[in-house]
Amino acid sequence: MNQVTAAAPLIQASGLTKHYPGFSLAGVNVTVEPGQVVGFVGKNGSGKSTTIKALLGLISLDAGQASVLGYSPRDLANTASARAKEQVGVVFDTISLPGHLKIEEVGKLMARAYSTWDAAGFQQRLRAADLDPKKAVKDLSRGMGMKLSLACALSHNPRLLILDEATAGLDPIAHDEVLDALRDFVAVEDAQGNPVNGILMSSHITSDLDKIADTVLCIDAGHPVFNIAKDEVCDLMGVARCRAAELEQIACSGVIAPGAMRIMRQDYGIDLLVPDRFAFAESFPSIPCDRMGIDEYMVFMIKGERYC
Amino acid sequence: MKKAFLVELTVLTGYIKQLLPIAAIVGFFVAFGMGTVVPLAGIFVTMFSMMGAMAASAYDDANNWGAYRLTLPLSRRDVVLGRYVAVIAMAGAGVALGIALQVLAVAVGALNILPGDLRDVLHMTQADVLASIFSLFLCLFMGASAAAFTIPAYFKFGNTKATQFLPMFVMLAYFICMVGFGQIADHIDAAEVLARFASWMESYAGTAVLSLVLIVLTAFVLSVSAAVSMRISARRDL
Repeated sequence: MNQVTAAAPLIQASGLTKHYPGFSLAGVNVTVEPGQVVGFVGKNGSGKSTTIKALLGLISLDAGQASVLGYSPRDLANTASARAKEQVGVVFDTISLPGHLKIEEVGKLMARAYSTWDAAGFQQRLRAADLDPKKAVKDLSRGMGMKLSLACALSHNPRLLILDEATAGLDPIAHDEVLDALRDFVAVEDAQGNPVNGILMSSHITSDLDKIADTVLCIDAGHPVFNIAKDEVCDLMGVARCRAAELEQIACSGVIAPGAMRIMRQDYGIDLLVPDRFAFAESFPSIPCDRMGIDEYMVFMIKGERYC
Repeated sequence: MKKAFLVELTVLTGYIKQLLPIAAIVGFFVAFGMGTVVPLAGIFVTMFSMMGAMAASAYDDANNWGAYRLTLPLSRRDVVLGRYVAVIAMAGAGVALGIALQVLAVAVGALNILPGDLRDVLHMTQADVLASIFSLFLCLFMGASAAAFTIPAYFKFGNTKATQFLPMFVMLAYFICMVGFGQIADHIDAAEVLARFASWMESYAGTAVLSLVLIVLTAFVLSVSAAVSMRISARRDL
């Protein structure tokens, strides 16, 4: 059944295209390697959920190729290949279970669906999340619902997690616990010491991605904006806070490659995206340069203007 | 398909427990209204099969369950067939529970502890037993036909949208049937044909043949409906 070798990407998608009246997803590429956490960001309505649904075979694609655990999304919907979904754990942005079910009944439902269901692990996660098995799904708060969804996604020994706003609504303690669990999940190795699990995680909470993501993919209005290593953004890039005259000076210095300067005009000055804040600080020690976060980088790439 | 059926059953279990007393109340009200307990089992069958299909489709739309279900290791074909097996299972449960309740009602009637009118309602003659058997299978066919008609619509449009226009199509189908029967009746002596048919229906052979025909028709309509639903489900974006 498993068509994926230890080294093959868990998700490999290119040119994903889907047209709706008034919106088109076009040319989106997604790759998730074993051992990798791919953060997926974008404005509301940018196409993140559409991309995830396309990967899971919930919607048909108008163009593009996709492979999830070696199967195309269309194959995942077929009888012969549906078992591949035993290895995929999914969390949507809202609790996606019938509201009248009690949590213990959700456990029974999952045990009937998954051959690899770990009932003991599920019970343990419920206890850790302080979820009462007798409580109905409809009586759960948003955060408790997300904890239940995550418990379901993690309790059948998946290889791939696809999370759509899975940490939204979690309290700070649960937040940290979930991120720890996701780190542990992605750190699992096979007998040869190769990573086997991966995560595709869409989130508006970019601080989570700062902590856990390896790469960050951004789309806007259905089109890809950037796909970059998180460390390159957070550990290398910076935001220089400068004035117009300083900006001219920087442009003439050649510290930043021509055509690569991106700025955001603020009331107090001009913010400049700096590819290497350490090199920048050496060249311009008097200009404040702050660490770049994923959310700031996203704003620069979507709303920023090129400075020529 | 077995997994999909078991998942469906888990979701519907609570609903079945709610439906049982409702069907019993409706059944007894109809029985007392008609002055006979003959239709009791049939009412159970109709309610369980029709309302089972509607309830299952309603749960699909709630909380995006229909889409999430397809992230489980189930194919679209499994989900569709699991739905039909669940509806058939509910119809079967309706048959069993309806017959059990009818037998219980007749047994209570035979105890002579009830007032005369009520005791008469709960009494069944041999002809009543044949009529009850026929009404059971006729109601099975009617309930299955209703489910067969509505399930593809629910898979195509979702419960919320389908519920808005299904009553219109049901009325249209009823109107077409009435016009059709009217056209047929214009060309035959309907009264005599119906009288002879009713007479044959009330015989052992007639009841057995009609019951078998209704079972075959039930299987046919559900099979056609399942084939249509599978085609619809295979193409639907969720």
